[in-house]
Amino acid sequence: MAGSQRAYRARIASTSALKKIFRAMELIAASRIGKARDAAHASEPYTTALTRAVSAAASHVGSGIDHPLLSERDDTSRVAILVLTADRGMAGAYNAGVLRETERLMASLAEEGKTLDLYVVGRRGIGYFDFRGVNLAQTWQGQSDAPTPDLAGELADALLERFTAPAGQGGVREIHVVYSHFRSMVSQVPRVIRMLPLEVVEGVVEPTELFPLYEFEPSPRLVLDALLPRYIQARLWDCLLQAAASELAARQQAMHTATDNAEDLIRTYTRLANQARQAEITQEISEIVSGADALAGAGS
Amino acid sequence: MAERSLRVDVVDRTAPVWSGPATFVTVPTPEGSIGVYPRHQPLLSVLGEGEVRIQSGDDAWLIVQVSGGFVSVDSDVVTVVTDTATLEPNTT
Repeated sequence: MAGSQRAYRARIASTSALKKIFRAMELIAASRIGKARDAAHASEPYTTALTRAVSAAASHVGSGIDHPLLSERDDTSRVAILVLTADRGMAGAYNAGVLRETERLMASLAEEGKTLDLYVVGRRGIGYFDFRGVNLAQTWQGQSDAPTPDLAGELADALLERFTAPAGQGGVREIHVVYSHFRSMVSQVPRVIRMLPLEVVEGVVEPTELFPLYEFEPSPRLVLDALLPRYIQARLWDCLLQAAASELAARQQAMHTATDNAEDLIRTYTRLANQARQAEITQEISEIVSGADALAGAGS
Repeated sequence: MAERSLRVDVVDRTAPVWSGPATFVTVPTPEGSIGVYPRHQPLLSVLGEGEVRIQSGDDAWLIVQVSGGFVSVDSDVVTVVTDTATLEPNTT
């Protein structure tokens, strides 16, 4: 009987230790979301200025626009996919959602007869595809929940190189990005966007806004050359920040649930331990009483 | 009419670096540099590596090191967009 009491006490102790860890991780995730949001907020002026300039340049150059990053290529059937996952789990369905969306995209692209090249950010995604024996073109890890602009730069360089390469040297015709869109603290949705070729320039060119007749220095083409890669990079940076915020929000939520569960468990085990203690006392008393009775009966 | 001045915004990839009024700005381009006074015609230019010099007062110059990007001028608003910008602390 004493054994079961001890077992319950041990469980309570280990569960409360776990609860402390869950709680700490929840708080860490919560504080990092603030940072991710600040980073997104701080890079907003850059993105806005860039988007404005791209629309201005695009509207100026007009529909006869001819730039490698804007035109569809059909000389190859290779397609690149960039997948943004987390480095760690413990974030509920975050990684599973992104990976499921990736599988769906891969299936639909494969159906169209396209060859796929995968670029993966985050240890969970790398592990997932490694385990399934999928070859990965390039991987990055170690900063999924706090991305740096340098990472966005590396991603943009790697992808642009593939997109501008000739068909024989691994050129790709499309680049898709799968990431998790941060809708709110409680809702993050996996999302697929086609990064390249750029669709000119979706939702940005508003007919109501008239751009002045810009003078381009040195030439419209060279200005576009300078703008578009930066635009890609800014969009990738935005995706990375969204993914990081989603990961942290999902983790905070998961850890909050885990903390609640731990509390429930502790409560249940405390009740069971009390019951066991009470049963033990009752038994001891009844043993003593029956022993005393027996002695009294023998003495008289 | 009061004398017109420029409004200058310098932003880099991660954060706004400097913003304020100015009377004259020079920016580096791959082929030299461009000076911008108020009422400059709208301009969209590639930015070279070098320093952006901003005259923010009668005799006050502000220097920002930039590493490439672009600059746009539109209705006296000068926006310098660059990958990395560092503000030089000593302004003369």
